[in-house]
Amino acid sequence: MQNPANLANGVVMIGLLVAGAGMSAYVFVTPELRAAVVKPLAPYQYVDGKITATIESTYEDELPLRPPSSAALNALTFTLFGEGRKGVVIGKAGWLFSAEEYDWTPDSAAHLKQNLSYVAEVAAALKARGIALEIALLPEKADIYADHLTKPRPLAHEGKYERVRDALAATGATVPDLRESLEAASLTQTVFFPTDTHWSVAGAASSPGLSPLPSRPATPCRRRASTCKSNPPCRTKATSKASSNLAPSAPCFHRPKRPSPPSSPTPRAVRSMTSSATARAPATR
Amino acid sequence: MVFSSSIFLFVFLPVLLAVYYVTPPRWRNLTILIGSYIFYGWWRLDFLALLIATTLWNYFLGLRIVAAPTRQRAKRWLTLAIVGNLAVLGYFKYSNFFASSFSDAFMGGAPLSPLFEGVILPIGVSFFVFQAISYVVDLYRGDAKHADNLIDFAAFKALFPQLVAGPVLRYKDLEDQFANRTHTFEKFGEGATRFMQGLARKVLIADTAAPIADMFFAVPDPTFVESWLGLTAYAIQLYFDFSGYSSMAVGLGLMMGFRFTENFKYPYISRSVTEFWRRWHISLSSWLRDYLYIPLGGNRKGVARTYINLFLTMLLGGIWHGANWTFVIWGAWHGGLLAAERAAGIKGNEKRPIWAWAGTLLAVLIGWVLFRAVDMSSAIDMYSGMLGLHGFAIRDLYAWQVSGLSLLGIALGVAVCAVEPWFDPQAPATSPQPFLTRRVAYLSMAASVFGVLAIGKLVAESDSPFLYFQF
Repeated sequence: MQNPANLANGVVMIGLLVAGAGMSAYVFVTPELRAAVVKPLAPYQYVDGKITATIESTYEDELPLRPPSSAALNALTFTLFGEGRKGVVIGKAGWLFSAEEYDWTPDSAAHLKQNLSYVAEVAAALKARGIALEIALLPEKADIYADHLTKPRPLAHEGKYERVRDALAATGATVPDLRESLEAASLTQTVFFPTDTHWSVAGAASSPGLSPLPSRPATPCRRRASTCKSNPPCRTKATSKASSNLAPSAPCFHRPKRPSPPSSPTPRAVRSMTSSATARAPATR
Repeated sequence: MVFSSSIFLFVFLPVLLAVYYVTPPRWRNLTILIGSYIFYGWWRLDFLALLIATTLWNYFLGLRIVAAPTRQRAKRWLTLAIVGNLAVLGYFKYSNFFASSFSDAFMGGAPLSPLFEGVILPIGVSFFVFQAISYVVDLYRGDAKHADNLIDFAAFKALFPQLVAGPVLRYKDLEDQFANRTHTFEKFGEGATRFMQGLARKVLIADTAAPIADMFFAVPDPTFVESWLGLTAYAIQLYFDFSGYSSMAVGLGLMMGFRFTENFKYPYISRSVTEFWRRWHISLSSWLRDYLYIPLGGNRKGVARTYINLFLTMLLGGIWHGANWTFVIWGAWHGGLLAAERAAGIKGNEKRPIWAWAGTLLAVLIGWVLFRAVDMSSAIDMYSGMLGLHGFAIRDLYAWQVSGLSLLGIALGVAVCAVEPWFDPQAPATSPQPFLTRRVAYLSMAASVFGVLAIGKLVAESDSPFLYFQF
């Protein structure tokens, strides 16, 4: 006996295959995929699957169906569960937080300790050259805007800023307490971008012990913060990878080099970092 | 290449089916062969050479078995064929495990030899080696005819829907279909239905439940809730991943005119472990029965030997899944349970009370811990968590990572497990036939809807590997 649904599914399947093949024909003439196909490789890479893996990943990236599918999936999960994609934690009133601000694994304490020891080495090396180290330790956005969180953060994050600051100060570096000033400023201004992990101009300006940002308007560059290579270089406060997940076109800001105070007896090295960054796996030295 | 990938769905499959249907019938097996080699070679060309070598090895030794003048001579050729097949499996699948075990035991962890270190496991090797063994054994037993030509045999060996993760097909079941098979739009549509159902099971349920399973099998000292939630998620993920793959394989076969054997039949409703193995990975359990349990003597050599044979069969079945002590113990666990049930007179087809279902499910879940854990230490950690030895509630370190979407995936999986037997098109009609037919029709209609949703999710996420590829 014929099942009419099978016939209907057969028609749908043929439609999908034809549409898929048409879309693929379009993708295969894109310069990106042609470049992947003709990219010169070592002879063994044609045998061990390297070439096909490259073609496949480029093909998937170039699929025109991908952006609307991602958008639809995001919209669905957000509507049904109030959740974002991996790496994003949805806050209240449209605020987004990075999963890195929540993440705390059994290895995190060891990573933190290792990263602090690297900083101590750098501080010692600079001190030996007569350079004073000043560290702008940013608190996490989830720390300052805890009232915007919809999911409670693990208790392991409590007091982390103070612990990290104390540990950095123990290296001999100057570590101003930005948390206190940012908390105070957050009552009247937005000191972090709501959909990004970076602190805002107002946040930076409110921090004591750091020179205020220049008064000229910031130049937004419509690209990932991590790819900013303009001259003068873009300075990003947070090094979090997740920031690019939160807002792929997040603005970054050109900031001129801070001039050394003319009367300063010793040069200063300033490095901004976040307390969450110190808790993650150490980068290659 | 995997079925649940954009390049398979939008490039390989449309091109292959188009070429297949415009090819004259007598050349269609060659089309399948070429398409299947492209499918496999897309992963690595060098291991395609291994597949071709095992094909030639079994084809020509199969000829020798059939042409042998005496049974004794035929048995020698059979032994040679099996040894060759097991050598391939042994080297590529187990040399890393044995080299490291030997090195740990006798050489203080020093490397044994570069030849046995870092050997890459060819995708699907366990499946195509078992398939080859069944071919030569069936020839020896006279249960199958030798393949008429090398192209048909090579196409059977490489048949892409079942090449990398089964079902473990036998040549004797498909030889007639290779010689002559029908192609109708009804059959194609049935294949489309099965393919869509499988894709939806894999992408919408298995992949959605996976993050919770992955997380709680990786955390140290899981609590009671964490371990049970992780285990439930894994039980759903594994079943829907593998049964989804099998359904897609059956569907792809139907689209090319083949009708494969079914590989799953609602395993989680089983009321004994014996029944479970008649419903889970059916092609493997029947292979183990026909080519291991029966040659070991089956139940023909007394009660004690029957128990030993059951135990050994499942132990080897466990080792087939992977070179790890966890699989060895998982096989022993199931072998012991089967032997115990046999001793208790449980045959697997009788009506048993509801507590038997709960007990069976618990036994299967206990086994899944071994199946999923990366080593024995992790498995013991998980068992401790299930007993509440690491506390009860879910910890705040992990609570924020439990997404509603994943919980929905688990809930959907549980619901489907509960209701799917009701939609079995092959079930005896306990209700009026038209009503049963309507239910099946509704389910079939839903396949396209869920299949399209699955394709959308697949394209958005792109990464959707199958669990059984690792075997």
